[in-house]
Amino acid sequence: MENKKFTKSLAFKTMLRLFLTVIVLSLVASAVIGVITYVNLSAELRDYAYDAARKGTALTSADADEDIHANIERYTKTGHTDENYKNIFLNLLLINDDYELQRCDIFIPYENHITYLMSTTDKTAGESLNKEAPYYGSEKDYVLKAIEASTNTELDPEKSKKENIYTDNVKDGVKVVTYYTPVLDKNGNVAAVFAASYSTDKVVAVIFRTIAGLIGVSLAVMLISMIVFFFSIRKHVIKPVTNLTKSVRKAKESVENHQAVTTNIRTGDEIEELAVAFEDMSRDLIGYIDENTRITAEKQRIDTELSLATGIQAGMLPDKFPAFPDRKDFDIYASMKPAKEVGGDFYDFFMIDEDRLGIVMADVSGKGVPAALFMMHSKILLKSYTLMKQTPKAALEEVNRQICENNPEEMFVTVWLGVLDLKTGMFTAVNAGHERPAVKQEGEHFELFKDKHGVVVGYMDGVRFKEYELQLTKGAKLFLYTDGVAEATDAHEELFGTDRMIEALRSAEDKSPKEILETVDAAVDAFVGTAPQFDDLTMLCIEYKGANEE
Amino acid sequence: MEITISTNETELTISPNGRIDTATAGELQSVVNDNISGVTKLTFDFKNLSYLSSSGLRVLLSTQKIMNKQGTMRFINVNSDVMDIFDMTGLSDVFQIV
Repeated sequence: MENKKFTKSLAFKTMLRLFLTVIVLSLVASAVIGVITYVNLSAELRDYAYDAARKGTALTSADADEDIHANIERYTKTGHTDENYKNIFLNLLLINDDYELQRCDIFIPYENHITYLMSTTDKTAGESLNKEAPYYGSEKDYVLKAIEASTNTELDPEKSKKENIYTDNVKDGVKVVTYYTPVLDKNGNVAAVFAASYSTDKVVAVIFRTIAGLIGVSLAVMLISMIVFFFSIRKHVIKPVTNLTKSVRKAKESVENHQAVTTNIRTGDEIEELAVAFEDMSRDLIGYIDENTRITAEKQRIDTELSLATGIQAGMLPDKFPAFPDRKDFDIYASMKPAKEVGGDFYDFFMIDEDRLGIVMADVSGKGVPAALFMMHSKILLKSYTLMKQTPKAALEEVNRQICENNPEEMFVTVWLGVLDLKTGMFTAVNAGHERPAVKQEGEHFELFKDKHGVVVGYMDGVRFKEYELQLTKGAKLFLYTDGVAEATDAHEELFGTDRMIEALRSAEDKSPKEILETVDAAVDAFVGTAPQFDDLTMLCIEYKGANEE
Repeated sequence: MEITISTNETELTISPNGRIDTATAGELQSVVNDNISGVTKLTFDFKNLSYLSSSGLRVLLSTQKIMNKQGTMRFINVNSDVMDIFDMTGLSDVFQIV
């Protein structure tokens, strides 16, 4: 439906434009031709009237007897006409007919009026004789000019045509142009004035006839052109465009079926060019779609694998709390929030024997899948060797040896490894390049514990680590974290820092480890705001409640 | 981050400007890889370094290992924030910091 509507509107618009153009052109052409016709006809009719007046005058003079002046005097005095008068009147009628004039008059001019000697409006010769009439408009001036011109023997006809013609006259309610010539007697004196009037309405009528003819021809030509043009446009433009439109509409289906679009438009012009460009585009599109499908499938596969990896990694960390529901001598809570699907941070805690708890907090260099793989390796080694070697120093030196043995990517891991004697509250720990822990002894506030630092694990084989001891009082708390906490960054690239961390810790220092972690997490979230999480966020808190009283 | 380098025969100075984090550590790694061949004295000028992440440390550590074989490596203009990181990771004992 829509398709049809648009096609029609294209033909309609073209036709409408063509029609309007032809109309305007016809009007302009008609106006120009009208003006030219008017000018030519006017000049021709002026010549005509001049000829008529000259001829009339000549005939009048010739047919009058020798003393025309005396005759006229006699006619006007007696009011009687004769054969001679009738002959002149007949001549007047003939000229009037021959030249298709409005009227011819021969009159006697007086000071303020004229009297007719004869007039073609007079049906019976002699009726208008001596009939008095006023001058029409400035007729008198032209009559006098004509009389005056008669004294000039070398009268230039062209000049006379201009000067002795009254172009703006109205007689019998008709617009006329009147030409005046004097009628002379045998002595060369002016006896009367001959006036030939032709109707300008005739000129206008001729012009209208011409223009009407022109418009008629234009319309006919236009109509034929339009029909020819319409069929030509339909065949060479609209039909190929309609076909192309059909192909375009089917393109989605074709491309989805891996078939390039074929339009079969062979017009050899811009429309074919468009069609070919469209065919090429559909082929390119198929290529892009294939590529895109492949990439999307690949991405989906990776996403699925990553989400599985996230699950596996999370499953590696002890995340069931309370972790040791039947132990009353300590409470522990930990959390990890990776920046990507899988992270490089990890924590771990495990009972070495009935009285000793091993705790690990570590951060692998880098992020994502490589960090996660390295983290798995490190985590297993750390737990295994801590269980095996019993002391943090011995365990970490062995882990370092193992990692350095096969570390082509030169990754490393910062580790805080501690073993807490739950009987005495004595922590034995090694810090291999990891963040300083925060400690709160009973009755005091959280402080950063300035422990001895060793080099990161994985850097160099044979490194010796320094072990230190930390005596926890009953009710003391130890907070471990990774750089994701201290280096959480807000939108202005400002770091959260250990000062804000200590502040957050102190605000919840009398609460349980779980609540303390939630407080720090909320503080980091509030600080970071809308900035994306940049690094893994991992924390652990243990509260030492003292040996069981038995 | 922008990294400017200057060389003088077998001496190379690398001056990172801005942050070396996970996103930009690769850039530092390629600058090192492209220029380290034949260098006997490598200097990292940290005058305009605002932040150094563990990914950046990894690049520095691997560079240190290469330089251990072919010459010396040192750090100049290390600010206190970066120094804290070196201290914390125990690398202030490994690196030569002037």
